[in-house]
Amino acid sequence: MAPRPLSKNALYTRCRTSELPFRTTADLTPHVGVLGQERAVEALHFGTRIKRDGYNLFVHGAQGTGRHTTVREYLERAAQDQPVPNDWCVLNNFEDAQKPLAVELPPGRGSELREDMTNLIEELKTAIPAAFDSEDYRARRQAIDQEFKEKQEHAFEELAEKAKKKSVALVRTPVGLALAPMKDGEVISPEVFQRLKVEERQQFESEIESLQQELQATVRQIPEWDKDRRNQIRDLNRDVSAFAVGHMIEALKERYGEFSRIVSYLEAVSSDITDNVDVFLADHQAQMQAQMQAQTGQPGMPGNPLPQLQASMALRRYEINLLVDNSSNGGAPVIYEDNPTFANLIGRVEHIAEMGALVTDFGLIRSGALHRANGGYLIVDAVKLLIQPYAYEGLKRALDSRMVRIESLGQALSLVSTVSLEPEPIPLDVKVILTGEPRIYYLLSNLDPEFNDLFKVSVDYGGDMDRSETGILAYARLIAALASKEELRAFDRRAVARLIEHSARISDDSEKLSLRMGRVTDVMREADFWAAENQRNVVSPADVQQAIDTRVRRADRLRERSQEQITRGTVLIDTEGAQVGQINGLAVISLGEFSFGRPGRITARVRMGRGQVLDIEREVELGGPLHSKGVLILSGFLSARYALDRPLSLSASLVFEQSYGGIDGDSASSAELYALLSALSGLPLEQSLAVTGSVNQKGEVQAIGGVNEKIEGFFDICQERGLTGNQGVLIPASNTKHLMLRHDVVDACASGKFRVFPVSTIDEGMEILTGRRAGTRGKNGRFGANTINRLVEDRLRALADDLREFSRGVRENNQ
Amino acid sequence: MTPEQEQQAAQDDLHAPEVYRILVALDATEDSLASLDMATRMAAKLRAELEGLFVEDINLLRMADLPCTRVVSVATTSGQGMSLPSMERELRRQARVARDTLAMNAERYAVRWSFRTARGAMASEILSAASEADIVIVGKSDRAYPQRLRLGATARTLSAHSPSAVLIAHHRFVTTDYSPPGAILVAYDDTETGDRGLRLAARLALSERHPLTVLIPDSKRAGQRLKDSAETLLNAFGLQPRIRMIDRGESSRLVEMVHAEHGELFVLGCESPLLRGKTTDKVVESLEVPVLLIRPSPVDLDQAEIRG
Repeated sequence: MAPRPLSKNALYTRCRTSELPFRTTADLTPHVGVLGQERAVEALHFGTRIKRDGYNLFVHGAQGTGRHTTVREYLERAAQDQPVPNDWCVLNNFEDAQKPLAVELPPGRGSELREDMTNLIEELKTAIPAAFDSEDYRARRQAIDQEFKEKQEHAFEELAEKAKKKSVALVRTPVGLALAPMKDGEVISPEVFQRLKVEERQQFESEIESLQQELQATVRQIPEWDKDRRNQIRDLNRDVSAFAVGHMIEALKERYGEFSRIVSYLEAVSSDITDNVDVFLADHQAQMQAQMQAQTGQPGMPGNPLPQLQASMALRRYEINLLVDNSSNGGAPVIYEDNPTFANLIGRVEHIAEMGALVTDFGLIRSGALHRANGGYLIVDAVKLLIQPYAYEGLKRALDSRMVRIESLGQALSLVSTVSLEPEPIPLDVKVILTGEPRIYYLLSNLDPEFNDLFKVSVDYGGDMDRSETGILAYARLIAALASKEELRAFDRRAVARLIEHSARISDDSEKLSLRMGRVTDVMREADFWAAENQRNVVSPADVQQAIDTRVRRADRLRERSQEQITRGTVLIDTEGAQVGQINGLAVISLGEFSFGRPGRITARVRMGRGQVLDIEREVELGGPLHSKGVLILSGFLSARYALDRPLSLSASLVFEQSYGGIDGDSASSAELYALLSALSGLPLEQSLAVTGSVNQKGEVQAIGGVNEKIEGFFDICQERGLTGNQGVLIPASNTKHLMLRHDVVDACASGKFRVFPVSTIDEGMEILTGRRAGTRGKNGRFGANTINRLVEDRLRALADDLREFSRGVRENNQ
Repeated sequence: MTPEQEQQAAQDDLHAPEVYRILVALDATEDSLASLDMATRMAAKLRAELEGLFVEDINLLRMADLPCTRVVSVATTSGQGMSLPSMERELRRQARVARDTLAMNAERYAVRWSFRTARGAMASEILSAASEADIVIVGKSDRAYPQRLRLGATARTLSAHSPSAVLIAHHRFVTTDYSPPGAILVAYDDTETGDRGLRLAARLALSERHPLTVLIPDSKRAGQRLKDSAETLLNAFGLQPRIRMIDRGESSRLVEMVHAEHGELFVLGCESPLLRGKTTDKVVESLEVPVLLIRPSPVDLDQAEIRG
């Protein structure tokens, strides 16, 4: 017996205001925490508490379930009770500048050290030049220089005296020290020299030769004397600078006495400063020059900025690069890295252009998200991570080794071999939380062997929750919480009821509520907007409905266009009359978050053949695998039901008329079967009805998706043409619980202008579509006379007989 | 003349451009480079034109032409003969270096400049050029040994016969460029050279805010008057000079006293009573700071004894 159309209550499950014991959401205690995600929260709780390697988390769930927000809020609450991790400083390594040191200090002490070192250098910039400008230093330095000069001058003067006695002059020339004959205290002219006797000339040559050797011996001593001078000056400089620096460094060593690495560092600083006082003097000199220029009012006088630049660059080596500053943290850090590139995760070494070349030093080392999250939590979007070159690999390596080693991609991949910095790696203790859609999780789990070792905790966010009495109230409190968080107007309980109904529609199930709160929140924000526009202090159901309608309106241009094609007769869809081998199927077209139903004509033709059902969509590669599967099931159904004792001898073709895009899914398989049975039986099908539902080989109609959109899609066409009361849609009976139809559809059904039939079997469907009984096999093994199945079976038998006759004729002709 | 009129007149007088041209003698010696730096800065302060003169010393060329002359390189200690062409080449190269250095310094301090070379005896060439300059700057030492504290022949000739003021530059053992401007010391007295010296010193001090120390011979008759006169003149321009009265006993230790002041420049009139019978050469030779000698009115060059 054919099923009756569904009642109004089955088409739309209202949320009764009696289920909502409050006036507005302002009366409710807002929901705190995560709703309907008990499994996920348990996993989150477990994953964040277990302190073992590899117990990092992958939070997966549908977009809009609030997985990111709720995880972040959960972690921020949990982190408040956890200890603040240490600061990390990068220091210059005075023994090997290419390998900067990484030192940890209790939170807040890193910034203190940085300030202390900055103050130290600022003080030394004054103290060292003052020490070197002292009367005492100048006198000692002058004495050393004078001693050297006098030693040199004395040696030359002695030689000059000796030469003078031999009438030879010692003269400085542009090319060196010259020895030349002289007379009366003056070098003699070449003409006079030529007039000298040969013996005299030879005497001069001999004397000059001898003096030259002595002069050379004297000159050879100069570098040695100069070396002595430099050594004396260096020792003097060290003594003076050590005196200036010593007490300041000692004060710092006392302040940081409990940190042995800092004490060693300060000793290295002290030693380096005494060896490089010139840097402080040059800096001071540059400042004085600038000051003098300002005082003398000679701004136009171009100075050479290079020494000042070099001096300030050189002083950078005493600065502290505070890589991680946890001084202002109230607990463990929770870091969300929005752009998880390789460098943003593990840190990088920056460069600056200097004299046309790119240079770097320890001060240009920048922390990555892993550094900042060390001792706490790092949240990363899995897709963003995976699309960044080598970022996932870098993250895995850091987690695997439990160290963060800052290096460039070029270094990590051994692509470049230029000398760069190799900062000391920093021990890593972080919980990484990846977030993403389930398919990303399952892909990684299947394809990456390391993934399961590093991300052992799966936090699975479901897309919906049960629409139970307690669930509805909790959902209302969640709506109250969202309204409060978003600073929206309060929602009255009928508006909340409408939101709950809409939530059920989003989840495509009248017995469920959607946990994709992103979409619900959007509707709430827009309802608040319309409430303001409508000058209401409390959001009413009309505002919610207006929000829903305007969202649809904004998105449904293509739906209107599609419907227009049908109403204008461009796309052929009948909504009245009856046709053999022709039926209205229903498809769903998804446009992002918006989807709509669209009827499509399916036709079937049969003739004698070898048991093949030809799917034209598949032949032209427009049909997907699920669609092909559905069509192949039809052959199974026909063979099993009608051709038990003889071969299935038909050739049938099925086609979606005026379909120019790809088709997939098996929701049209029941419609195809109806068309096929109509073509076989010769019984016309009602065109005022549309059909959806998949079918199995036993002829049972199975649930499909998008049932609401499909019904509404056909309803819109019928409404456009005028509702007759005969129009309706056949849906699988198992989809009844999913119905949350539009109000206008429900109202039309309630007034008998439209019908929705829940169908369990093909026979039920055929009876509604043809108005004839399907028929069952009698004791004689035959279907009852004039029943649908009898007509189909007879046609199949006839086709088999025809084929046998035809085959015999062919054989005889061949013989 | 009222005091105000006197002050205005003094200011006008001080601001009058007394120095139009500064001549700097250049060779490649250390003192010569020190004198170039000093000359450029002074030209900038006084807004004077700077003229560089490079003299190809005829004595060096003669020496190079002697067959038995030997030269020892200080850099390599190697010994070899000399030739006239190589010496000429070297002098030309040095002239180019001197010109370039002068150009660079002048550009840095925005000073008008010119440069020329001459061949001949060093002292006579500079003396000849000095007649067109207001200040001549020469290095203290020359090429002959001994050099220490010795006044070279060129400086000696100029200090005795230059028609213009002579600045005898001397590179200091320790140069601390980052130090604040050093003091300018000036000997002030009743003579014409003393008066000119004070005005020039005041202008130099004013330009870079050098401290100014005025040394005045302390005599019963003139000491206080000179002091008042110096203060009036200098105060008119916002200068607060340190006045130091020098008694007869101290003046015999003039050199030690100047050194103790750590001055950057000592302005000394050739007629200063502080010389107390010592020759100017002797005092300048002993001083380790640059000395600006204010010569009296020009001498007759024909009567000058020129040593070359």
